[in-house]
Amino acid sequence: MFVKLENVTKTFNEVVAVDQLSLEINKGQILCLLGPSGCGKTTTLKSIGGFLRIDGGRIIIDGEDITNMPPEMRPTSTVFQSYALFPHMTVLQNVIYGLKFKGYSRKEAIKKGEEYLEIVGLLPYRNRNVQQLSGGQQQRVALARALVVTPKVLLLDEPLSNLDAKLRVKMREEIKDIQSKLGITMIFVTHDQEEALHIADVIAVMNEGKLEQLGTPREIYCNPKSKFVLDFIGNSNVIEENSGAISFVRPEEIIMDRHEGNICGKIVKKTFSGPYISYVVQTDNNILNVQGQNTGNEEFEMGEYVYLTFKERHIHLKKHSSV
Amino acid sequence: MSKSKNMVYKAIDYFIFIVLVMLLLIFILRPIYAIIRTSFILDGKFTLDIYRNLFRDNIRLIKNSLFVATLTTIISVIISINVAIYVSLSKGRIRKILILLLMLTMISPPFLSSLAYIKLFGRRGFITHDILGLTLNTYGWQGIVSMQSLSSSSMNAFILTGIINRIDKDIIKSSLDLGANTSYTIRKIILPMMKPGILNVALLTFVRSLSDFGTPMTIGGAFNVLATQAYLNVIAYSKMELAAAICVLILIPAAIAFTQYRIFSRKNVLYTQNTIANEMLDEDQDESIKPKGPLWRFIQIFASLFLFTMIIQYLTIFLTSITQYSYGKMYFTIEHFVHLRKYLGDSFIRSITYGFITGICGGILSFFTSYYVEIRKFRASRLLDFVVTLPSIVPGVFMGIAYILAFNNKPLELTGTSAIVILNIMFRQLPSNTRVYNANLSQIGTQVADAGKDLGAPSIYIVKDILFPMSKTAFMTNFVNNFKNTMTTVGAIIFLVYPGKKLATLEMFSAIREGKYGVGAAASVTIILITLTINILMSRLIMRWKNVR
Repeated sequence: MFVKLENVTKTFNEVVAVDQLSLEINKGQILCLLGPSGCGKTTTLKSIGGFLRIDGGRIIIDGEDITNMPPEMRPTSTVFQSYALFPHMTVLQNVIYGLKFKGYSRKEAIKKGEEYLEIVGLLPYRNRNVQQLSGGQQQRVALARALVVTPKVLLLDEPLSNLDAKLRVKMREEIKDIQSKLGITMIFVTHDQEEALHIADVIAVMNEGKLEQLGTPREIYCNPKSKFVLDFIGNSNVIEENSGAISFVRPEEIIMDRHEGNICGKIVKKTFSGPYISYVVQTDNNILNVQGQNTGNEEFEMGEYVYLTFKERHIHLKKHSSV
Repeated sequence: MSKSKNMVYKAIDYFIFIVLVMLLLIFILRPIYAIIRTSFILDGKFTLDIYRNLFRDNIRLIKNSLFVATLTTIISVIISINVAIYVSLSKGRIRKILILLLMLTMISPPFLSSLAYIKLFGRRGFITHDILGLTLNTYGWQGIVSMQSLSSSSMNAFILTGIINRIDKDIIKSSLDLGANTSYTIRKIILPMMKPGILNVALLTFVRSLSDFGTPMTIGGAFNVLATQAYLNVIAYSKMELAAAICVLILIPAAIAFTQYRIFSRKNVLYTQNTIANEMLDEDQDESIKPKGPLWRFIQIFASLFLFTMIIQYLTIFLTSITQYSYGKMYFTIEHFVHLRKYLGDSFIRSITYGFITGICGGILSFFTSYYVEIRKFRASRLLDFVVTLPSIVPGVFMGIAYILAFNNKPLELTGTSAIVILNIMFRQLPSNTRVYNANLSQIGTQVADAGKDLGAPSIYIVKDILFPMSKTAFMTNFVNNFKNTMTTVGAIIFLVYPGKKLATLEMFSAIREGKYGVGAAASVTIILITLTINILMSRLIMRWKNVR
């Protein structure tokens, strides 16, 4: 395993922020630490970067125990949430700053810096002052600055949270492209599940300092292991079985039809949201959310009686399990 | 990076840190210890006699001090609340003039209002004698209270305006939007939100009045207070232990004021005077707030009266500096300024030189203090932070006398040197300087410093390449403050300066005491002009830096 966390624990004034966290990922993977605010994901990232001293456990990267190393000695580099660019330096000066301490001559450093600015598409801006750049461009400078020192693991602390919705989608594509180009291992903190599902190879869902589930995006979405993960990821209709187990079905996994289906119900709410139309259907036992594609062909109306068929139904959780 | 290089960097880091801690111990803790110790030791033995005597012999002075301080506090707080609300909510020219005048008082030497008072209401005062034809003895508590209230009010109005500015303007707008009128909004929204600030301003005024010996000495006449007694005990009677005890006594309300300030400031980011001033001038007043109603009328009238008084005060000083009376006639002259150049030129040059030294050295000292306490945050940094704030708790007189007691014998015999004066000003300014850096460094600095570390930079590189260049505007702000302070301070340094090495403010003090009012006024005007010039030059520089970004 390339990155390994063993029982990492961190407390702040007796509040346990990270509780016995263990996880591991392979080289070249993107791990997303996902969870609501206060779940300990940023604390975990800062502990890996060396900005926080952990109270218990071990952190191992590429076979080396880095638990007690100061940040400047660790084989990691961080893209900070605020980017933390040096405001009085140009783009290029920012990017090559770390190379000075790796023994690069100034000439070599500039060459390498320009190479990485090319990768993030900012070469023409190299002599600009960083404060003249837009948010997305600053983000790229921060990325280039962290990548140029060729860390073994790149840490990203909610890097896209300061960007607007459209740019966020664009940047996450870029980060993924750069990652596959360089083959670098990344740990990415986010509270945005869609972002995590999109970018990650492995997702670690965290809650109250504990790891709820570690798995691929598909595993997390299709086979949530706890009620928390189920609630946190995506929308779902939770159905209580006679056996006492809980099953769930995603809104997009329900087929709605006027004539045939397993369950009958009445549409009590309809919401238009662009590519989708969301319906709320009242059946005998449940209220179900159903998502219909806005294809322009078939649309249902309020008050209409419809038949529902579940394409897939996941029965996983014992009642009260891991809740 | 090589291991040996790393060791060198670490060693430098430790060395700077140790030097810093030693400086803080020697120049802050040692004097404070010395003065407290002196007030309890008589003939080498611990005793409470000094305090017993103090209370027995000086009960009248204590009463006088408390009376003046209480009255000054009440009046000053009322004035400053009105002025602050007016400045915050009004627009237009009067507001601008008022802000400029408030800023002017920040760079004015002390005793300026006392001097104006003498010229207007004194025995030969322009108003009392020349207009009303009276020859009154107006020296007494009334004068002290009015002048202390007036000069405290500017400072307080400054602080309170800063606090109102920090209230989200949308809160005020939403109150108006919900149908409240101006009076109701001021009473129910603005005043309650100002409350901790008002309390703090009141406490500070109380302490300032208690420790002010200059005003009572110039216009108090026969009315004596505790601080004057402390001053005379040092200067005239050499009864150090009594002076020390008086200082320790004044420390009690000062400590209360400080504690309240700390609790208050924990919840609020505190602005420096400079940022408040800039904000006040920069900010385009929101058109949607249109104050009116009887309470607003009252505030307007109050603020206008204050403005009027201030204008009269400065006008008096200016006129006094360029006029002369001869055979009951007033005529213009440059004689006072000529006198200044001839006899007091040296002390002005000395003041400016000291100003530059404290500006630069104080800036460096406070930068490192802020760096180790705020950015590095090690185990004892809270303790160190407390030591650094001590000089802001104790009044100027206290620190002045403390320095004499601490540095009058070997191994650190500094009395009579320029160094003791400069060090005193520097360390007294350290808390406010450090606060400016903290505000600058703690917001962005911690993460930026982390980024530097993350990229492999050793601490001294982070300081040299990142933090120091990043905080150059803070450095300048501190430079201006320290310079201004050196040009205008009296309280502490009056005890430390030897006759041959007087500073401009002290010459001004002597001139007023000797009745050379024209020279005193000329000195005031010159001090203001010098400080103003430096202020404008440095602000230009800061502006240019900001625009380059």
